[in-house]
Amino acid sequence: MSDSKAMPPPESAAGQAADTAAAAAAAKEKAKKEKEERRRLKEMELKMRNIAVGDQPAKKTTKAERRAIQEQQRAVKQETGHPGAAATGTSGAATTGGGGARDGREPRPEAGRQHAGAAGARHARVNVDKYTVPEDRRMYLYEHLSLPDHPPSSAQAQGAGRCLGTGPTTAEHSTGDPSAFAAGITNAAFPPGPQVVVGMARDDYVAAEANTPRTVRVLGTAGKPVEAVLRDAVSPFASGPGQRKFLKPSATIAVHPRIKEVGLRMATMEISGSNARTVAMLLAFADVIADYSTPPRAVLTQHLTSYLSLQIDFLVFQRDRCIGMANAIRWLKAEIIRMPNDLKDDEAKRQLAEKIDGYIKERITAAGDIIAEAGAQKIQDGDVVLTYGASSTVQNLLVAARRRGRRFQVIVVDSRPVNEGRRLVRKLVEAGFSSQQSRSSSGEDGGAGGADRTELSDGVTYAPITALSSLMRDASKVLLSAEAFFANGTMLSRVGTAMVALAAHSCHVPVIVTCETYKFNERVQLDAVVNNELGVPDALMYKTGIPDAEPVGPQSDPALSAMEYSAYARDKYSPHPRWNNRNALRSETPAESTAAGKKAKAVKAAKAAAAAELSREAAAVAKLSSACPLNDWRTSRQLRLLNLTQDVTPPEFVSVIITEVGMVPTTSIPVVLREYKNQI
Amino acid sequence: MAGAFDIVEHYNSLIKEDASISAPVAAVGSLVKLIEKQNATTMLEFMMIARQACDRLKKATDNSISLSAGCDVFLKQMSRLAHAQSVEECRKALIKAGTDFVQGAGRCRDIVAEFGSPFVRDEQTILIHSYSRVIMGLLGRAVTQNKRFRVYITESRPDQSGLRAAAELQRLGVPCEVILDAAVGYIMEKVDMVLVGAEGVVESGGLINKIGTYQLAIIAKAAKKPLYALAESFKFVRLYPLSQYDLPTHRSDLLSFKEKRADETDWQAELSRSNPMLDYTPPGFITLMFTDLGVMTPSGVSDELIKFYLD
Repeated sequence: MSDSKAMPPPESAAGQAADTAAAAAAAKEKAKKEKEERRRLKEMELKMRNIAVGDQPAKKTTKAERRAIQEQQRAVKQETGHPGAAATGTSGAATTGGGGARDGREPRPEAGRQHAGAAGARHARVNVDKYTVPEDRRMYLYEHLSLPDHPPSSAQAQGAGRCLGTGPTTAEHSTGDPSAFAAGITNAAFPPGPQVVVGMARDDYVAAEANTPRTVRVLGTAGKPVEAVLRDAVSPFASGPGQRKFLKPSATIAVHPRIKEVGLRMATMEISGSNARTVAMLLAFADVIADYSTPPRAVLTQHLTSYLSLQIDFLVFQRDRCIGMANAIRWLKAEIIRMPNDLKDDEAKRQLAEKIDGYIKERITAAGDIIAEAGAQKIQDGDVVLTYGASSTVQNLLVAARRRGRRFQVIVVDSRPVNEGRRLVRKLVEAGFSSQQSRSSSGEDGGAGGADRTELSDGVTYAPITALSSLMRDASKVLLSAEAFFANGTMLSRVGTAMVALAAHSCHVPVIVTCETYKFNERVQLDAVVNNELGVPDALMYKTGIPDAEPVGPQSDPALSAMEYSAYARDKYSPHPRWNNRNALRSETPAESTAAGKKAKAVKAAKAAAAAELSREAAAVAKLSSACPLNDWRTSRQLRLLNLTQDVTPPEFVSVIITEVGMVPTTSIPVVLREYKNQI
Repeated sequence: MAGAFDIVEHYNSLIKEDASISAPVAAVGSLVKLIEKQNATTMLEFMMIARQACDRLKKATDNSISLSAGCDVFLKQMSRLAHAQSVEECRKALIKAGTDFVQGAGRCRDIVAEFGSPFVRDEQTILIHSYSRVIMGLLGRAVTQNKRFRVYITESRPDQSGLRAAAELQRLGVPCEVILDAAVGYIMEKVDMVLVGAEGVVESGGLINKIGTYQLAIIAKAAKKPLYALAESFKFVRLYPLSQYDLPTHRSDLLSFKEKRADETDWQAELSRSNPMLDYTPPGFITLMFTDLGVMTPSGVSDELIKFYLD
């Protein structure tokens, strides 16, 4: 990690002294903090690319240093003393397995949490025997639903402080002090992201930025009255009492570390997408239940539900639940309440674990498989399938169709700020979609069967959503996925979906939507304003130097990568006259040009990186202020950023919903809801 | 497999014996016969045989869509009974259910006529497409109720089944005119309502019917005339077509610009050879459905289908 040499500034104590002395020194301090933040963002990005940032001594010291600014100098000394001990402690935990970690309680809670942060990045597997869902199945789930790489074991988030269970034994570990609690949250292994607390007063925000426990808190708006939502949406940073939300930690019952872990991973968007989130949540619940023991003189069916409610509160605070999660929660609570009262703890826990596993299997993964298989039948040779964003179900469906030998093109439409479509493009290319491959192979074969096959391309095209209206004319089917369906047939999905569906409707292209029935909801929603989730406003800005998301392929230039993966752009003989002239402009032979181009790109990128290293500070600041007029949105009273993450598609734009119980029109959702209620 | 008993043969003989029998009913009738003759000892074997027979039937006949509705109903019934009882009991129950279905099916058309006839009023002009036994039943009922109405009938190429309908209506004493398929737009202004039958009613709430129904429906909608579809509930099929080319009857050689020798092409013969016989009408074009379960909107059909197949 080249970045680690950004040393922890030794003048931290001096800076604090200067802080009291002069305003200039304070400004300097602030600049330093900005630098720090940028470094952290970079770190996060690297982590996203699965580069282990685990046991970097620099990181620990900076973490300690950052804490030092928040707290007293006394703490600084203690904690800078820690890392060595922490490192040995964690490696011990990693090798000895479950028992070691559980017993390794620290006498001081704060120190223990600090320790946890250091331990987290190491993917130490602790307490595996307690998992109720078998490990291989868990891996399958994670891969299947394109969750981030490895499911971190519970140790990741908790380190030595595993024993946050219930009842009187744990009281000593949960502190009553909210700030310490918050510090505990941020000490998990998650590199902090850009910080936004929606609804914070402006001054609070500035202050909060100065001394950060950095977490992303994207607060949902479920259940708020329309006025409140509108007010928040239009001016998320308008000051006002009562808008600020803080989690009130209970003094007696702590949040389980697995829940903390999952919550934070959801907050940082590391786990996103309905299916991934619901599965992650249910798996966390399984662990919570495995660690649970009913306190004396309490009944499991009542106590466990209230205990779970607290865990859920934490999750919801980190990021509001999606409909699928809400339905799963409702189901789980109903299951718990339905359990006979005289059941032994162990037996009840075993049954619940089984039920959770069954729910995941039946309603999510197996349902996804059925949907993929049923949907694959709807894709025929020669189709041009247009999809938007990235969804695990859509991906599985396309791959299933490909596996059946169907030859079709895929257009992946994508949009800022998330640009998740790139992920889908990469997955599809990995699964064998590539115009180049098919073309060259059929060319080499030359003979039998090749003749009619060359007509059918199976490439992937990546395009921005702004190109939608021209691309839609080429599409023969539109494939989308839903976050939820409401009883009146409206579809809730990632923002931009309604636009794609509208374009398809106006071009008379059938819109196929995949949706597991556990995402059906008996509520009625008419528009996207009454209930929406606000994204991070900063995401709307272009951040020079920090790519929007991880780029596709080896290049770091996202635009270039998109071109690389475009079937149209490569295809000189494309039947689409609009696309092939772009290639005609390049006269070199394609192989050489791309190889040479890559080399030149690499050299250029290296130079640019070096230059950026030299004057990173100045260049970045100048670029930021010049590149994007939105950058000063925090100080400008006129400018508000609205980053809605969901929208609502009217039922008439959806031709068919593919569910695990068959293909249904949007008008039949109430019937499915009704019939299913009797069944489960 | 089926041994001496040939299901296709039996199916064809059923169709030949009774001109009024529908394909799905004949299919269920033949499947019942098959089950009667079988001596399968396990449930699995039983199901396998029935499934194979269904596949054979679908392959052997040309209108597999309405036939498959019957097969689906039978197989669903079978899998439902399979959980409950022993093989022998299941067989008996199945035979009974099948026989009931075949006997009940005869009444379906009367019930549809019962539900639909109030929509026919005096001095109305009705446009019908092709020949359909349910429509004939409904109009016959209206005649017995002493209603005075006129009927335009499309010629319905290529088999000219409209002529058959005209002859039958004339016998009933209904004033009728046969129009060219191309004259639908011309005549639509004078029409009060449009009636069509259905080869199959699909999950989306749309229907599959004789070619020309779709364009008729489009014109009716453009002219804001109500279009009522008539179908017995045993014609509800588990299909969800997204377009005309998403039907099981679709073949890639239909209207496919195949290369032809200029001097040898017989365009007249080519016409019926390379043209589709069925098309799909999406639910948006259908005002109401008259079925033996009642008069329902197109979405009601999908509700019924889900209810039947979900559990």
